[in-house]
Amino acid sequence: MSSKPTTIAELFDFYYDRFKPIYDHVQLLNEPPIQLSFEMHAAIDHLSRHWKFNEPEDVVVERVAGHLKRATFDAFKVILRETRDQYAYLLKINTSVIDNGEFQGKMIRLWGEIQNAAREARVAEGNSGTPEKWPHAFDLWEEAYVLCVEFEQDFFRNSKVQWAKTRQKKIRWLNVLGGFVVGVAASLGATALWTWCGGGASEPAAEIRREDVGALEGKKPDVPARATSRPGSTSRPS
Amino acid sequence: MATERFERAIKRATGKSIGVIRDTSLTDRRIEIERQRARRIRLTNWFPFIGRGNVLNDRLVDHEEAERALKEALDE
Repeated sequence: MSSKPTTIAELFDFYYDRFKPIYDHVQLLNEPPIQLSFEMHAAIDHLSRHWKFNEPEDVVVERVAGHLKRATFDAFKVILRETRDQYAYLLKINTSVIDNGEFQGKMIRLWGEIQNAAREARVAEGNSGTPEKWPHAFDLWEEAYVLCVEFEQDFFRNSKVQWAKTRQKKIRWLNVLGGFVVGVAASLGATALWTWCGGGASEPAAEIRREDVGALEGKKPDVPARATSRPGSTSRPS
Repeated sequence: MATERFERAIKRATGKSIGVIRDTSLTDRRIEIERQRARRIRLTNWFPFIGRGNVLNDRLVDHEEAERALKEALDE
């Protein structure tokens, strides 16, 4: 499609060349937007007025083209958002282990290209009113769309992603298990070291040892004199 | 006519050539997709990401749900 539609026949050329293919992709998403249906419904309504109310063809074509344009741009945006969600999903996975980091590098670079292409297309949308500039925004959106499909097929649906995800899960569990084992081992080791150093010995054990030593030497235990008298008593200490 | 790169991208994404997509009616294509996915295609409201004004104050309902609600209302 090299120019803005000026006849009803060209409108349908546009519909089959630009809108219907991208709408087919949108249908494959889990929940396609009803907003696209609104635009198509409005387009049909305008088209009908050519026969129902004898509106001039050029007036009808101008209005229908506006709705088809909006529906097509919105369809591209839906695919772009899907790609953004795919990129966010991949960022949660450690993809640096795939192909020695090349996969991740290429993925990030491609997403940057998609963003730039989409920004350029978005700016061009505002300048698509004139017949000469009409196709430019569509061409730019198609370029962004081609990159989105490349992202989905070569990165999001790459079989190595599942491998990286499984590997990441295994490593996480190994870290948890390893941390537990190290914790238990460290606790046991600390307890053994503490016991070996004699740390934390209780007072009764020390007293028993002194008494044992005294008994072995035949000595009576030393008892201080004041310890035998009670306060207020008249008895003399022995 | 669409560019070759666009046509190749459509083929990669949908599994169908652009010619087949053009020739197949929307209804037939929707039935085929639903059969492959074993799930009905359900429309959702993407406003404000796209669209020119939110005319839907409530959530979307599909045909079956609308028929059920109508039947319930008529049977009361």
